[in-house]
Amino acid sequence: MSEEYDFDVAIVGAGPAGIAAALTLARAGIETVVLERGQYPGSKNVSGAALYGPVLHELVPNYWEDDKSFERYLTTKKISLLSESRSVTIDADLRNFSQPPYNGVTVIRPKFDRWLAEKAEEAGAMILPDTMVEDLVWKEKQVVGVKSGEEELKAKLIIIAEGANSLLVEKANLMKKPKPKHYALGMKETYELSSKKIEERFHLSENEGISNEILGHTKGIPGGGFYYTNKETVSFGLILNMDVLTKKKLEAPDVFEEFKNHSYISKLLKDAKMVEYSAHIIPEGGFKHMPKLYGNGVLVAGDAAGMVLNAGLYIEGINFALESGRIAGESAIEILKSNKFNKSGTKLYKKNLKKSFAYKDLKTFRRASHFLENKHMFTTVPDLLTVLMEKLLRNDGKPRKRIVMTAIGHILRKTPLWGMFKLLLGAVRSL
Amino acid sequence: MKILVYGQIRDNLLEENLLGILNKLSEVFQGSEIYAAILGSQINNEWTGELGKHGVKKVYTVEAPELENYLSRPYVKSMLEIIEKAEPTLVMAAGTVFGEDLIPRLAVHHGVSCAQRVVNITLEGEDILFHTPVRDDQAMKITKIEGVIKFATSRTGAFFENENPSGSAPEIEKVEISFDADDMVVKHVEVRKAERTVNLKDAKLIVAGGRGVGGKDNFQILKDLAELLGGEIGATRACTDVHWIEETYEIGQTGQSVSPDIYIAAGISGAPQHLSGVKAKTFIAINTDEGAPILKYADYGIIGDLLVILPLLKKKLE
Amino acid sequence: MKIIVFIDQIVSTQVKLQGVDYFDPSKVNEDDLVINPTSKNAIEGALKLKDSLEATVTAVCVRGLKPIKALREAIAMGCTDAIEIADEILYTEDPLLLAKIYVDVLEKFGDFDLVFLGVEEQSTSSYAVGAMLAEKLGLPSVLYAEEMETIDSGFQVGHVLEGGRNIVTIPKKALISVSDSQYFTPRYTSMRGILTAKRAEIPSWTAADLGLSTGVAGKEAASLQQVSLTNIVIERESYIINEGEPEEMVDKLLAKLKEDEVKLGA
Ligand SMILES: Cc1cc2nc3c(=O)[nH]c(=O)nc-3n(C[C@H](O)[C@H](O)[C@H](O)COP(=O)(O)OP(=O)(O)OC[C@H]3O[C@@H](n4cnc5c(N)ncnc54)[C@H](O)[C@@H]3O)c2cc1C
Ligand SMILES: Cc1cc2nc3c(=O)[nH]c(=O)nc-3n(C[C@H](O)[C@H](O)[C@H](O)COP(=O)(O)OP(=O)(O)OC[C@H]3O[C@@H](n4cnc5c(N)ncnc54)[C@H](O)[C@@H]3O)c2cc1C
Ligand SMILES: Nc1ncnc2c1ncn2[C@@H]1O[C@H](COP(=O)(O)O)[C@@H](O)[C@H]1O
Repeated sequence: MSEEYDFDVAIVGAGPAGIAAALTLARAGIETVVLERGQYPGSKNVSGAALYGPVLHELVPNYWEDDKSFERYLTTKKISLLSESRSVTIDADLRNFSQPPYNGVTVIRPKFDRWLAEKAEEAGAMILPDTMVEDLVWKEKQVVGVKSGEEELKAKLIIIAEGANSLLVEKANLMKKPKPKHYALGMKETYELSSKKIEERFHLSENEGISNEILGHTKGIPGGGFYYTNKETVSFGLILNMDVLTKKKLEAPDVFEEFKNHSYISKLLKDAKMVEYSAHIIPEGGFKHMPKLYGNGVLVAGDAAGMVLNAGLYIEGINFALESGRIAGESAIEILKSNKFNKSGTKLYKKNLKKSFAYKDLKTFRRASHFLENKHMFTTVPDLLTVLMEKLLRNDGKPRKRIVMTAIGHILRKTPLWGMFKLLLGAVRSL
Repeated sequence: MKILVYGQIRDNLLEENLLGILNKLSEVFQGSEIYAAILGSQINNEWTGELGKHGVKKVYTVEAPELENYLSRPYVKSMLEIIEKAEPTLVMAAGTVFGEDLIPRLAVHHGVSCAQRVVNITLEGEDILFHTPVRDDQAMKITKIEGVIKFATSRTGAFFENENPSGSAPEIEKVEISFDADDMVVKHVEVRKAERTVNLKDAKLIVAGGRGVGGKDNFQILKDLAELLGGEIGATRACTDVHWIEETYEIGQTGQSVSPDIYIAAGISGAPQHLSGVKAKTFIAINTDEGAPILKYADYGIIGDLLVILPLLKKKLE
Repeated sequence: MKIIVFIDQIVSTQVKLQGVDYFDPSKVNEDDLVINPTSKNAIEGALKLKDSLEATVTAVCVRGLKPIKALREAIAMGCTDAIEIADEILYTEDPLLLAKIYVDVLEKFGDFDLVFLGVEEQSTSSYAVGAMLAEKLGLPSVLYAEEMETIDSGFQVGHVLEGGRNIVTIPKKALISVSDSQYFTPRYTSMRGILTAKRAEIPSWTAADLGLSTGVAGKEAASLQQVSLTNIVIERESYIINEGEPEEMVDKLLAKLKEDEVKLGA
């Protein structure tokens, strides 16, 4: 390392993306620093969180052997639709998912991020907590460092991994100011429940977990709820589109309260003590609104790069963060070798990323957010499906067939046929 | 049993907390003999008389120009000499800044520890038990001191004086001590006395502000509310230290003691040194931090920004 | 000039503990361990001199479950180096014993000029260590300092006093206990500081290194014996409003005051 620089690579943000990059770099013996504004990695982080095991396995082989890494592996998946007083649930019991590397696992972010950060530190990366990066250091048109307060820290390459609403991405001239339309608000509460109670309540064996995505009953605001089981807590949350929320002049906490009062939810959380509440914004502009992923002396990874899939009823971001962080790290190693830190050198990152599932998935699902902007998905569909189910099941002595026809008639009256058709088409195409 | 108290003089008067200690000691240690020591450049008969009235049998006095102001070394030297003469089992002082400086030093010379800021003294068999609040008053620790002589201070405001003392004039013993240059390494420069222009003792309502007020100008918000309610304002040392408000408004151990009907504490964390000066019938706290110790003492509390809450409160009351 | 700051690490008083066993490592979460507030004021005092005179500042932590964490923070604030004193037998609540341990630390350390410490360690609130240490060392001292300035002969220090502030002068070799004041408001850690702290090698001394054994420094050696420790439960019922818009909160308060027949006004 030349004297001019403090480190080869400086990474802003010790979330999954930043740490994945740091871990990759440190393993290759590259002098890496991660700057994190929180007291420790994960101290300020919020998410569900469920993530895909194989992606983690790729980064930390046999991660499951360390019981600090995850909470439960997911064997049950439910998707529920709620209306005023009814609910319909699809329940998939997927025992095939109970073998390592596990298809899905739940994690508690402050614990998980910290665990992952320790791995990076063991590999030789340096993590600086309590350090808020406020600006970039420029040398002509090249980014050569970061600024915190009056202080500067120089590095050949900067990886921006500061999560959603990244200021540095703007400062690096990689994106214009985003609109509220492109964000969702995620609220999350953690409930305490003994592992015995969790297993009884959700019909799970030891270490097995469930995830449930829930649609409807959000006052017509695009979004959805979820819960995941951890070892001794349940993560419960709701994601709401900010744009519609503001337009409807509704307060997110009110919508959340009403959502929780639905009998489907209140039963789940009965007698559980809420121990934590947090909220965080989530980029949901989708593929189209991703910033430029590289610049002179910078790479962007994770949420900062808009690499989140918000399918309305669930968000997937940790996978993408881990993957894009790892690829940013690998690309940085090559860039350092080539000694080309301007755009023509850093372009390599995008090239590598394009080959990964992360980029491809985001592209595949690019219509998802569009589809989710259709309000019927969050109001009419849950309403009708639940009504239909009720009518189908209720036996009050009348011939059934006729009732089904009434229900369908009900559907057609409420939604213009063409709209419904488009909706279905959209759903098929995007998911 | 013999007990020796350090007779601190403050503003030409006996330290008021001392009278509380004397009352407590005669209650707990019935039949014991209480002695006192007064040090200074000139000793006033009124002080010794007052001590006698409150049950002190004998007063040791040391008069010397070096004792004009409290300084650790000459004071420790004098007290050690008096302890040797009086042979007490317990030595106590009021928990003032000087009392808390003196007592541990005396203890060191006797090879024992001490208990500072006790809020109660009890007996259990042969043992004297000292009760001291710890951890920002979250827990009460009871300790005893091993050794033939014990040292302690009381927390200011912990004990009440006897309203009808009936003691008589004490015996006086003058003690001569000589000091050399080595005793006077630390030099007294001056006391910057806080001007007491406003007396808060009789205020029925006080709107007090702490570091949370955030600046000089913001004190106007407190003044406006206090004026509307016909009360006074008050402040913590943190505020007078930075001159957001005149020192006269300081409340607590080193400020004024107050006993209003209503005390509104805004942006005050609730340090024991501050609270020891407040005895209010109704206590209202406004603080942004739900974990602030003051909320434990509050009858009513709002978790919020005082800069928002106080003006609203004023508006609604108008 | 060589400055030593003795710092304490405590369980943050923000943490409301179940029971009072906050010295039991199994009950204490590492994140809740913080530098004792007035110890931070003391660090600031030492650092101000480091900035203005050519001084080195060594932070020493004897009291704490994880002293290294506190010491790294002290270095991140700007201390030159640090020494960890970690030994179970040294964990004492007796101020006299602690003062004795400090004396031994200073002896092993060698030459020093100024000693700084905070006025109060919040878990034991003994308010006595500074005075006892000064007395044991025979060092000129000022307690409860609120401001200080360098003068030819040493320092002029203002300290807390009932009804004002007392000003004294002390020589260059002295002990100062520091309280929470504007002058001693602790600085934040800096990026470079954290970097230095991460890389710093912090030597660790044990009781044996200090020539101390259980009989001399352990619990049995204490002259201040704890009889009991209980949480203080305040009986009064607090009506705390912690939710809602400011206006709602104020309305709620006024309504409740009315209900309780408390009249706001003198
Ligand atoms: C309620 C909710 C539920 C979610 N559930 C899931 C889920 O179940 N599964 C899933 O895969 N995804 C989920 N997500 C999305 C997921 O949390 C994100 O996609 C993921 O955290 C992105 O990782 P990241 O490393 O890019 O950013 P982050 O995790 O946001 O990390 C960024 C880090 O940078 C730090 N930082 C920010 N700015 C600065 C600065 N200027 N200087 C220094 N440090 C800085 C932050 O403190 C933080 O530690 C959820 C999100 C929310 C809000
Ligand atoms: C020997 C000695 C004697 C002392 N004597 C006294 C004394 O007589 N009187 C005295 O007061 N102190 C005295 N002190 C000092 C005392 O120890 C404390 O340092 C002091 O009382 C703290 O003042 P504070 O509560 O204003 O500040 P802090 O402890 O800093 O508390 C500020 C509070 O304001 C809250 N806050 C911040 N912003 C806002 C906002 N916008 N709205 C609402 N709340 C907000 C914070 O949450 C916090 O709880 C003495 C100290 C010593 C050593
Ligand atoms: N049972 C499961 N098995 C595998 N992956 C799951 C399971 N449940 C949730 N996930 C995924 O974990 C990610 C996190 O989504 P989330 O649900 O709301 O934020 C999504 O990709 C989910 O599909």
